[in-house]
Amino acid sequence: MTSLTERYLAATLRGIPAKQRPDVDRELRSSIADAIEDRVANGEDRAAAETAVLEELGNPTRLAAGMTGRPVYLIGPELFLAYRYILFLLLGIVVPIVGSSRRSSRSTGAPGSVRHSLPVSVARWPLASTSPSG
Amino acid sequence: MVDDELLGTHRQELRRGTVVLACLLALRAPEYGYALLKRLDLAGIPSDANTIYPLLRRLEERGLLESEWNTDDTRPRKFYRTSPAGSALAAQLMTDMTHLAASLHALNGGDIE
Repeated sequence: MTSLTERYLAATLRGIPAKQRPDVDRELRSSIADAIEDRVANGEDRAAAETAVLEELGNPTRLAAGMTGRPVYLIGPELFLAYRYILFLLLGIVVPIVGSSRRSSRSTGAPGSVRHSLPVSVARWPLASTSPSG
Repeated sequence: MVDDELLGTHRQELRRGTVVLACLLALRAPEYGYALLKRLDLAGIPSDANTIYPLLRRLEERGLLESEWNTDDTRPRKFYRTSPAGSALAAQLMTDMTHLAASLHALNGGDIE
């Protein structure tokens, strides 16, 4: 086991509940070793085999999510329609309020008062949520 | 000529539901993760390690598989075996699968191709 596998294991185990960690660690460790040995037995270079095996296993966070049965999305198909409805509802309410109170604050000469009562980040959050999440 | 990408997507979709059945059937004889992967491959059901390993854990959690650590070998390995509940489920799913294949053949005009 080189540091590459150790790092892969550590990254995977971060996403596993502490109670299951030792068992997942032990099993995944032996599965990775089995796959590497198999490739080496077929004439592959050990380092190349290790890289290939870990690449096949893919993103450790995704693997951990699969092991614990957790989805890798925040808003799934069941929630999406309700999410979209509330998003547009809020956009329809929040944007006009922020827009109008900004205008009125400018005219009454009370700078900053709106920002305190209704944070700008609230009006911006749908934009932030549509940015790529990697 | 079918577009490769299209074929790949639909094939994956078609196979997705059969991986569970394949595991339950194969594991009536106890096996550890990597060996199961090889066995499925040889049986003509190629699967990815990152599909099978999480699946084994989830099936065990639901009581469809049982597991046992074997520490006699060169390295400790977790062996899985289909539980009685898993066997019962596999039998039912296998019947459904056979019916499904027959139905599709019938729809296809009895033409097996």
